[in-house]
Amino acid sequence: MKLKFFLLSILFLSFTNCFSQEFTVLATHYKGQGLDTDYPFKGTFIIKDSSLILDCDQFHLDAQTTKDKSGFITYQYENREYKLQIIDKKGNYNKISYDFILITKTDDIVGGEVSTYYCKIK
Amino acid sequence: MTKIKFLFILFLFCSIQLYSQSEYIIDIKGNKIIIDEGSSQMTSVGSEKTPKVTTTIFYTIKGKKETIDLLDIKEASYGSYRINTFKFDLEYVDKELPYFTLAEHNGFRLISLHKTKINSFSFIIDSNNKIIEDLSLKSYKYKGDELENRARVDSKIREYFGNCEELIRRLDRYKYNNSVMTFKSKFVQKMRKPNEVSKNENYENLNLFFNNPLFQQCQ
Repeated sequence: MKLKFFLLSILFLSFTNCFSQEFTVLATHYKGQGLDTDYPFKGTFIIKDSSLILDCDQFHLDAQTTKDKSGFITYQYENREYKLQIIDKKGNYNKISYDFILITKTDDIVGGEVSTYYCKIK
Repeated sequence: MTKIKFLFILFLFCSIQLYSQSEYIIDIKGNKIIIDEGSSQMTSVGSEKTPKVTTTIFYTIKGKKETIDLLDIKEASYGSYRINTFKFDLEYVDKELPYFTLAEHNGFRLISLHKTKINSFSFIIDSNNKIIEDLSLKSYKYKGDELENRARVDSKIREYFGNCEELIRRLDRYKYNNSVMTFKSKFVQKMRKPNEVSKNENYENLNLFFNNPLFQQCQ
């Protein structure tokens, strides 16, 4: 009986956590507040069903996510709402080849800001 | 037939011209600057020794980079921002100043003026530019009278612009935080504690709502 319950729990947990994508960030570009520049920012982006983790050498962000009317993933950090867009597109950026582009945008900072992460799937 | 074709092409040309001129800045001398669509950026930087804050707008004209100080603008529409100018007859301001419009509804406008590090100046004005409510805040005070003032400002925005869904949704963002940030860098840890969370219990972040005075259309 205990084994049955254990196996059912495993099955349930595997279904609820079925969606998870992990990206390695290879290069980052930032535009906002008068800046239009590359950042020496490397780390990992993990996107799950209802959360995301952005782990880099400077900080670790663990955020709850929702989807807006247009289907974009959104998350809030402090007073800022960010929209995340995942683009499945191969290319080269500053001689670094990438498979995906992840873009985060917010209007909740003066002038708005856009961060572009050039990634490979982990 | 050729005449109709010509008129159609002329109409198309005029429409494209009008569309491409949707982002503009008129400076205090009256010069209209048509800026490249989506090229604007804005930043507000404080001075170390004075409470002064300088707001600069960065933009491009046919790819060429330019900047303008907010106080040199008479009228503008770029990105999510709308600027107009008005002569404010107030105790502390008695001159023409540019202001941002955050929302318009039922003849009322929620506006925000050029700020300092200590104060943000915001008002609700009517269609005759008469000040209906003073929503100005002191940036670093959260207790006593200022706490009551902040609660009043929050309720006045909801009273006059309660039907503006996106504006109220944005106002609500200043009340909660569902993310956790852990700072690894020792340099950042000097300024921010690890796992620091803003709870906004005393409307402490309400001034940030006016910090970025973006225009939100009321449905």
